[in-house]
Amino acid sequence: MENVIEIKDLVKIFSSKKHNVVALNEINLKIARGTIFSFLGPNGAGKTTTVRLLSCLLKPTAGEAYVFGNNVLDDPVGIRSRIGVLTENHGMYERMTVRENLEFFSSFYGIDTAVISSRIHELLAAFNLTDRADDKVGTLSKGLKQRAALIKTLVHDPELVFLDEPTAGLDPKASVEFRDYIQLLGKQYHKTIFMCTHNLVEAQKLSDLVAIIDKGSIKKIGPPAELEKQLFESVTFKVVSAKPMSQDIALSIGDNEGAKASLSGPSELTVFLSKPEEEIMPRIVKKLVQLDVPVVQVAKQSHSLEDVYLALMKGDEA
Amino acid sequence: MKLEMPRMRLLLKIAKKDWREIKSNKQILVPMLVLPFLVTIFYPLVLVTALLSDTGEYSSPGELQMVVDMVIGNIIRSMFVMIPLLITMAIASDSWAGEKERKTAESLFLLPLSDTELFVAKVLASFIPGMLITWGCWVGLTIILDSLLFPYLGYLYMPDLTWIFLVFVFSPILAFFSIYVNCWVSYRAKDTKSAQQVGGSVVTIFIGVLISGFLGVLNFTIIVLTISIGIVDLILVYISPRIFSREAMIAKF
Repeated sequence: MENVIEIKDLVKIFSSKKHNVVALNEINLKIARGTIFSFLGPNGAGKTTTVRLLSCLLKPTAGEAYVFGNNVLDDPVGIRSRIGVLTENHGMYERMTVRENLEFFSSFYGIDTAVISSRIHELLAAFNLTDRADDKVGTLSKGLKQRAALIKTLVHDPELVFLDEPTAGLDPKASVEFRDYIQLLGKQYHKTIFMCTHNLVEAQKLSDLVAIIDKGSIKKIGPPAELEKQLFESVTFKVVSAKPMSQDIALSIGDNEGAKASLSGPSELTVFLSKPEEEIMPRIVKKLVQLDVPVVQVAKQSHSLEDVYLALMKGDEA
Repeated sequence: MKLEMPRMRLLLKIAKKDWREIKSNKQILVPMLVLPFLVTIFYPLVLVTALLSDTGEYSSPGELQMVVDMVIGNIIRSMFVMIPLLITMAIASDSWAGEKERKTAESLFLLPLSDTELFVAKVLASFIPGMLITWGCWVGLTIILDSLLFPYLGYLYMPDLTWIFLVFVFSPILAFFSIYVNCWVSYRAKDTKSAQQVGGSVVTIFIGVLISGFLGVLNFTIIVLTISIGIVDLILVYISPRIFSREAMIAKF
């Protein structure tokens, strides 16, 4: 599949008289068309700098960045005409109405006025903002401003959409709503999405591909499930008994090749597998029954992206 | 820096957007209205009415003409220089600093326009209203002065060559300089107020013009300034693509 974004050994250093700050340190990245990509990392990790480089607002210090196959240094105006960027600040004129803002920003892309009007109409309806379209942006709540800004990002029908911390500062209800809109972008509008976030739930729910960046370097990259596998080599099962279990039972499980167990509660056992579960788990359950353990539940424990992220950050600190 | 007409239309859209912002910003709008009123209506009315209140003091029409030349040709003409200088300063100082204050600069940077086009759009946003106000004020001043003086002098005192040169040659050159300096300051400043404080240094030109008006060497001063500021303008046009870049501004966010 065609790569919409391709980054090779990209370096960005901000130089000042006093000191140099390495914002990006030889990062590499490929994002295929139609992917929902999440860029995860703490504040100052280099997420926004990457977006600004890819949207041709900053120039690389070293390395190369390609958007739609074009080097960001060669055709900045052409690249900007095919992307939409939702910045951390909504970036709209507060003294103008939502519609006036949308008409203003969309008028630079050489699209027919009638087409723009119909797109504005369609997007206002899709994002439930039709009834506030003629209100001044300054009068809207933060959630509504963010929704209007998302429409502004999409109104010229960009092929690639950058979302920089799209739910930052929104209340939980507005965040959930906004996440639904991002899903809508991917599923209904088939956009390639590059989302910067430190919201792990958001990244896990929405993304096909996740990269974790810290201090300007990409620590891990892959689909969320793949990252869990890469980082947590063993598969974990929780076994719950109807009556308390002794430490001996945990030790006897340890006799099984490819499994270890420990008591995680009076009647709860955590089993760590280093071999395929289909091979070992039936044997373990059989053994527990033989040991007179009344097993009531056997559940596979999955690691969240949060676990992956925390494990990586913890490893980095160490 | 060649701009094709369709691109120029896009730049005017940014300029029009800026004019809407100015209309709703009292900090900029008030000085833009007060200054032309004072220079083209209030002071001329007061000064000329005072001059004409007792025409019996003048022994001949030639003496009246001499006094009128001194007051209008020197004092009012030197004060008129404030209009292109300060109006453009007020607008240009808000050009980038205002966008930064309103947190809309990045949205503008993301538009499919080159750095030069963005800079030219901001220059136009100040130059067009600055010149329209200047020329409008001059027309108003001409009407007021001629209607006051015609009964006494018997001919139309304005327009004359010195005024035409001031309004159509010197004023655009001066406005251009004020805009470039203030756009550059605005682009580096954190907010409009600090931009105005630094950019306000262009007012020193007006002080020089005013002093030369009182000394009776206004024509000479204006010619010297037209040539010297004109040369500086050409240099600024040449170097502006190098001093203005999105990268330099965004790195400071």
